[in-house]
Amino acid sequence: MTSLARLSEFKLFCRELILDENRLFKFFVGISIAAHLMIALVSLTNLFSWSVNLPMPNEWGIEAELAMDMTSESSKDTLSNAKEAEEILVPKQILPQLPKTVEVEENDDLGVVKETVPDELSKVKPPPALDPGKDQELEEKKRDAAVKLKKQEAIDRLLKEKARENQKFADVTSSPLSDSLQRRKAQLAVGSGGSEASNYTAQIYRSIRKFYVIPETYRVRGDSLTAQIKMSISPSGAILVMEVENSSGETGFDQLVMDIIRKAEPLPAPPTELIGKQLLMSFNP
Amino acid sequence: MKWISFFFGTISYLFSSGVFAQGMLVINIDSPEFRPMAVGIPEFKVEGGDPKIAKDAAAELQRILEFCGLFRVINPVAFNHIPTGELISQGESKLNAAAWKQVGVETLITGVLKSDPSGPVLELRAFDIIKGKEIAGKRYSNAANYVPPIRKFGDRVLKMLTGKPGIFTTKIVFVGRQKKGDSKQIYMADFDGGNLEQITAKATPHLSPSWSPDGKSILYTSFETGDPNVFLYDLEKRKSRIIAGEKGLDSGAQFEKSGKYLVYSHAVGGDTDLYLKSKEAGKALDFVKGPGLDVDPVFSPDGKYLAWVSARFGNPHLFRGDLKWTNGVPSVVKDERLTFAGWYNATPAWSHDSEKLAFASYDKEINRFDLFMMNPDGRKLERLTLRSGDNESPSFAPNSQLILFHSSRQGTADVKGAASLYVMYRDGSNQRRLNIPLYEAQTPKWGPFVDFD
Repeated sequence: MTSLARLSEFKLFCRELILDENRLFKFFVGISIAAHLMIALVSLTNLFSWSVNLPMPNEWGIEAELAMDMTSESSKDTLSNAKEAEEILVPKQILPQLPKTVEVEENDDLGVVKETVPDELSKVKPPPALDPGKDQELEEKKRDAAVKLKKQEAIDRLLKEKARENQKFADVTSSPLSDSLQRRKAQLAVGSGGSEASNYTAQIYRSIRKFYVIPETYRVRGDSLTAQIKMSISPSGAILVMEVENSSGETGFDQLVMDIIRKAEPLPAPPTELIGKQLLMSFNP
Repeated sequence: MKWISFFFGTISYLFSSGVFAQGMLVINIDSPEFRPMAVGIPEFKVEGGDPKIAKDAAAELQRILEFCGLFRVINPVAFNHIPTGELISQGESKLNAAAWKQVGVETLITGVLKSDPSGPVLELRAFDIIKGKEIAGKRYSNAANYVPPIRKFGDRVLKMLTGKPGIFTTKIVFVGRQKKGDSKQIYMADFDGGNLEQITAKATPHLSPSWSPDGKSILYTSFETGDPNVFLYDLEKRKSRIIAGEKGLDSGAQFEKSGKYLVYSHAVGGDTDLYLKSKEAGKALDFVKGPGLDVDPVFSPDGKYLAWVSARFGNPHLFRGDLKWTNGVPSVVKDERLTFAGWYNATPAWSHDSEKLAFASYDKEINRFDLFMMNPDGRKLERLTLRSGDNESPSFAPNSQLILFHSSRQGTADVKGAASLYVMYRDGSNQRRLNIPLYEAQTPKWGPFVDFD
């Protein structure tokens, strides 16, 4: 009976509320204040933390583990308390750890490509849709920027592909040139002597380095060994003379590097200006 | 803009062009790749005595050579056609180096077993095929136990080929437990874990063993007097004595290179610091003081640095101190923090050439300790182990090529089980378990070279 009476009372109250606009307004304001207060209170008591209910990382887990280790040891083996106490003291002196920051940069053939631009663009929030005309303008601007970016990307890609192709072509054309072609190339390039020599140095380095595999025992020995081998090369790349100029002091190593040079024969044909010149090969592990 | 690039272009061109010296173009060939050296071991000849000894001796030689990681033993099928009879008896003068070179042999080791009134005799010869020379030849009498002669000879061959003494006669010490629940004892074994020997016996824990530089004594921490003290065990007299026994915790002792002084950690109240003490007598001197824990001191073999673990900034990290020597007494003049990554870095170990520092670091994300190696200035950090249980306590072989450590892995399972000893090459490859018949083995220390005649 009482509940029924209360219900009817409430109904009456509601009707009155609806009739009186001013009172309705006050009622809703009151309710909203109450709701806000409630939420604030609840958030204070941590009831809503279910959404971040992941286990907190136990920073000092390892210390705890160590401490556990020590205590279990002591129960078995009468370990004194001294170490235990000190292990537990450590955490108090901890400095705040710096947050980890990770910077990702993609290093491509053509340099560093930073991929942050499109991200920022997508993050731009559209303003409140008050003026449809303005909005449309903005949309267009955004689209334009995106198209521009895509175009740029396509161009970049094309450039990269082209560069790669060029590189491939260069690789193909540089290494297996026949002797006659090599010589012709060298003849054509007469006049730029220094660069020829440096190119040739690189070529020789590459062709011998391929076979420069030596026993582990030389690694243990350390890099104090240096063997210098003097040699002259025929115009076709054959070894004419080869002898030890400065011994490493270890005849085995001298012999080994001479064997390695033999393996690389025929060597790249020397450019005209270097024909007849002697080469000094310096090896060290 | 254009002329600037031209300028730089010219500069770089000048530097990159070949160097001429005395009219010759000089070309430097460096950074080779390394491969194991190919060793040929023809079947040992038997002229008397038990053929089984000859066979087992050759097998032992092959095993230890492959263990050290520098060699690859070639299958004898490849060179069975080359006669060895005269070579074995007469040596270098009968060496047909070209024939051996052709089958890919770089080092050849021959052996013959003879019988003498006093017992079996083993004659061994080693040839460097590249040089075409005999590099070692030895005659071992009383070779019924073939192991010592074979290892001594292996050391000789290593010394000839690498310029550094071999590892086959070196020993290791470590902490072991016979069965679960037993107290920890100090054990000693051969480099490969064989020939196990128990050093301590009291039913109290024994920890952190380390070697004296001459390999004649062992330092360890023991609880047998109630609170932990540092003991010195003399391997010749087979006796131990307290060397640091102040009130409070004394542990983790290490000798400096001359073997006269030792540094150890001592805890007073809540603070652990490093102290220096003479091996003979005298008071302990302050060595490294600071807030928080200072433990695990290790001297670099060249005597320049001390590496240790300090928690002065919170977490335990590796520090390196520069050493100053006055009348043979070291002191730390300057220190520098080496590690900044990792949650807990511990157990530093120097390579014997003082070029590398290996240590264990706790990786919080995978909840495992793993081994790392870096230069003494903290650069060039490399990871050596991963996904194989907790890996701790690295210790370099005397030739710096192998690293001994303990791991909690079980077989290949990445678990935290009872620790056992493992060995790997210094680049982290070829990790193998040492076969030690104990429930648990940990904190190994590889002993120094042992002089032999």
